[in-house]
Amino acid sequence: MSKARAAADPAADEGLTPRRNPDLTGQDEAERLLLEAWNSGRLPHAWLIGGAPGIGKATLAYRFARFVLAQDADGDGLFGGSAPATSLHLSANHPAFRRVASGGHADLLTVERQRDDKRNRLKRDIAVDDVRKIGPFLHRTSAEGGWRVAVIDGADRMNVSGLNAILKILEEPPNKALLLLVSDNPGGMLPTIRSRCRKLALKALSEDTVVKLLMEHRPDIPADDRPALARLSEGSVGHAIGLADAGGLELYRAMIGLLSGLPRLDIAAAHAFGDTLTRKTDDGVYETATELLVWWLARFARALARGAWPAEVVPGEAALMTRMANARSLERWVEVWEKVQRLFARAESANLDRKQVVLNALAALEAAAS
Amino acid sequence: MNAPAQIPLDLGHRTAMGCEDFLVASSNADAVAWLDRWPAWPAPALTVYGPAGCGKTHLGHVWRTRSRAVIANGETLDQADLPGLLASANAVVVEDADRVAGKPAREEALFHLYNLAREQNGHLLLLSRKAPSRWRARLADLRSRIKGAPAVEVDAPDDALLAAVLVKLFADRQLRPGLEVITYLLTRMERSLDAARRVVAALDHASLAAHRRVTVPLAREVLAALEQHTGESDHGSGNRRSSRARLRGQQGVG
Amino acid sequence: MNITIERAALLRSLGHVQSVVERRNTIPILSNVLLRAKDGELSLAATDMDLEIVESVPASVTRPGGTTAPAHTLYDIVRKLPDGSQVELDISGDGALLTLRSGRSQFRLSCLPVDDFPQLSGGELKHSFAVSAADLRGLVDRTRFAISTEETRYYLNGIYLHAARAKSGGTDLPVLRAVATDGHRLARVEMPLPEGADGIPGVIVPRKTVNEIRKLIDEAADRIQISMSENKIRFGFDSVVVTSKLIDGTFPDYERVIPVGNDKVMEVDAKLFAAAVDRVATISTEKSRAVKLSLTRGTLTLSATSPEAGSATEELEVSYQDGPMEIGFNSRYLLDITQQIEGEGARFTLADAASPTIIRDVVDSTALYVLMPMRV
Repeated sequence: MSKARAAADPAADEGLTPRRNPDLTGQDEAERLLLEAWNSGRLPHAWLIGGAPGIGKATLAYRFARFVLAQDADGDGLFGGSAPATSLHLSANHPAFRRVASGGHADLLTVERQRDDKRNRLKRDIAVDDVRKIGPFLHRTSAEGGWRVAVIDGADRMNVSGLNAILKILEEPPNKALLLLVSDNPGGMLPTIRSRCRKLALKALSEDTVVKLLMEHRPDIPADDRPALARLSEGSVGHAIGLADAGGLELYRAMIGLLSGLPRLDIAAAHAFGDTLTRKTDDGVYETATELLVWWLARFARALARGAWPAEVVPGEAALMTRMANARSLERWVEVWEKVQRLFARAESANLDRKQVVLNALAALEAAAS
Repeated sequence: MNAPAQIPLDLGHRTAMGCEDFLVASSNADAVAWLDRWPAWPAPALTVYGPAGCGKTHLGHVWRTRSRAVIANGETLDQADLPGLLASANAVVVEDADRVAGKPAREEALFHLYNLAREQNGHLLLLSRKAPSRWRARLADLRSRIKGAPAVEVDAPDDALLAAVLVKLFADRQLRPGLEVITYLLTRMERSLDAARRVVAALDHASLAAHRRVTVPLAREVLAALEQHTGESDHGSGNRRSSRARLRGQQGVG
Repeated sequence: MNITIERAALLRSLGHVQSVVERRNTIPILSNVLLRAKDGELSLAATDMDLEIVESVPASVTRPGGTTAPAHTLYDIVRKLPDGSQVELDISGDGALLTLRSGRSQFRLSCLPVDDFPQLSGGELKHSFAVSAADLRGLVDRTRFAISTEETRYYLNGIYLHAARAKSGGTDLPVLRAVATDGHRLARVEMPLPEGADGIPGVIVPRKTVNEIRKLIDEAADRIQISMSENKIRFGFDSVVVTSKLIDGTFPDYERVIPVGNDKVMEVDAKLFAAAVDRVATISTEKSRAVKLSLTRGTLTLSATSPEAGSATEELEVSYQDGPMEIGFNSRYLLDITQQIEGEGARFTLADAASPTIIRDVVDSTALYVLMPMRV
């Protein structure tokens, strides 16, 4: 469910990276806004594309970048004279598409977190030297005679030096230069950056859209699992795929099955659940399951505050929530949620025995529910 | 003894004077609104007044790009060919318009120009440091006409405007210092557009001389040096005389 | 594609083009060289996305076609093949595999499609003209030392190439001009405007491109074809074509820093002067490298002092008829400029210790250098 896992998922090997993806589903509103801005002839130089992970932010950024790069130097563009463009779509056979996909478009610069080969994951920050490449890139003329586009993927991952480097460019962007900042956490960025960008907030996808996308891109995921994954992912196809690959749905079913015993937990089943989570240390099962448990508790607390149960991912959830709500107040459950969250966080930092941590969390739930 | 120091070449810069370079802020919003209303002005003239360096000249240039006005100066108005000024575009910018006051020939010239403009449905933009009520013109007819026409004040710049102006002045020199430099300057420099021009020019010069980037430490040195410099030459009107001499020098070269 | 080519020819061309390919590249296509074969020729192209080098070599082409293959790997393989051998390059039907055969060696390299390769050389360049290798060398050599390396003023990080009119002593001739400055010194070199160069846009050629073409000039035949637009410049040598992006900025109005009223004239033997400056500067501090020039009628005294090292003076006989004056310069800048002077005499035209000085070759009016003094 984390970004790191989504980036390492098998879909990436199959070429479904945002840079190579010719299709974008479920973000028509955002596409329309970009097209309007383009057709107005006064395109803002910098955009901040925000929204949850896995809903198509980077895919939209590359889609728009390709569209802009394909408008050739003559100004007419390939979309027919001065008639307003009606779609950002570019065929996967278009030369600009090919070069963007290969990383070989000389008028596109991508800045993102690099891989840490030693640890086999993405580095924590975007390297400042990479951010500093944007200035010289935009101070060169265009190779193909049109626009120059810089995509900053994970823009909230720039450190202070990187932010300063980007501010200089945002303050005084050159002509025919476009900066597309993509971020899961636009609210966490400096106000001075946000105020210099046109904001574009992408909405979560509908469950139907996630189901459809899963069908198209991951036919290997059983059809019966798709609706549940769509609901569990809260409208993020990236998250849904990440969960599917981590066995998230089975874990979720097992977790709800176990919790259904509340106010009394089946001790043998709890131990078995703990064993499943900790059989291996590096398969991501423990991380996925603990994230799901924290997520479910938050969902429960939110629903309790609102006074209406959410649509069930697996049957029996509503009945379980009702029993828990009857046992304790909202305030108490929020405390439990925070306690469980702290427990898992401390387990990571202090390197505690993972199975014991899971059993402690379950015990805390049981204590609250009885 | 000071260490040897390299003197840089004076490579100059191009000042952008277009509408898109003009920055609207609360201090000049009224004036901008009046200029936007042109040619629907209630009188043949509009006076824009405010302290040195508040951006009057730039406003004049912005209006000029739309009206194609000719530029005249209050100090030399008595020598100007008045019908000729209006002939090309029926619009004239009169800089230093308050300097006609007290000089009968100039006052007379402005009075005639005003009347000519009214007859021909032309327009005058009068730029001045003082409000028209404080011009002390002797010619009563001129006084009444100028007072009867709208006048709008431009204030000394606020933070937002000054920051935007600094960015623009740096951009004129193709420089793009970081936000931290702008913030640093804003809190420490004299708050006028003139001062902004001086500070940016001095920073440009210092960075070129030392082949250094425009950073906060460099800004600190430059501000310190500027303060010392003004301290030395700030005897009575000495400051003003030197800036005029500079202006003449530039005209001589251009 | 199937071709056979001499190892030496392939190695030389690969050597030329692979130099622009960055060693550590995370994007596979940028590590590759583009190979295209047709009409008895193999063309090789490599790019760093700012500039592209394309070289053509004769080859026996049995089946035309193209692909892109890892540049450094290919270069290393060809380098290790025995001298005098023949190399066969064969690309599989789907273009995904390059087979290299030579003698009993065989290599298979995975390839990427031609369409994925960056496109720098596309598009028409409106203006085109030819210059001699000697003229281009003159423009480049005598200006590139003055290119700024400081990135804040990115628009000074190259040579400003443009058409101008040279006005002096009643003449008014169209010229092709190269100008470079780092804000301390300025070099302006010109040559008669080549046919076809009137109306060219003023362009700033990036330093890296300048250095790449400088390497190629010595191997070039006499004529070099230069084409340009507002966005790109191309240098066509015999078999090598370099296409480059330009610096997107406005070069300063350099004419304003070339003084017109300097009235003190000193002429000195350029070689003797340079040698003396070099000797005296041994004493000046590493940081400033300042030397002082003290002029009196017929004599120049060079001096340098440093609080740590001591002091040095040297006298030179010069032609100088004006009143006494003193002026300081950065010795490295003096050497940079006097090294460009090929004739015997250098003529310094001075005003005062704080104003720009003009330095020229006594017998050559095509080059002009402006040097700002130091306060010493």
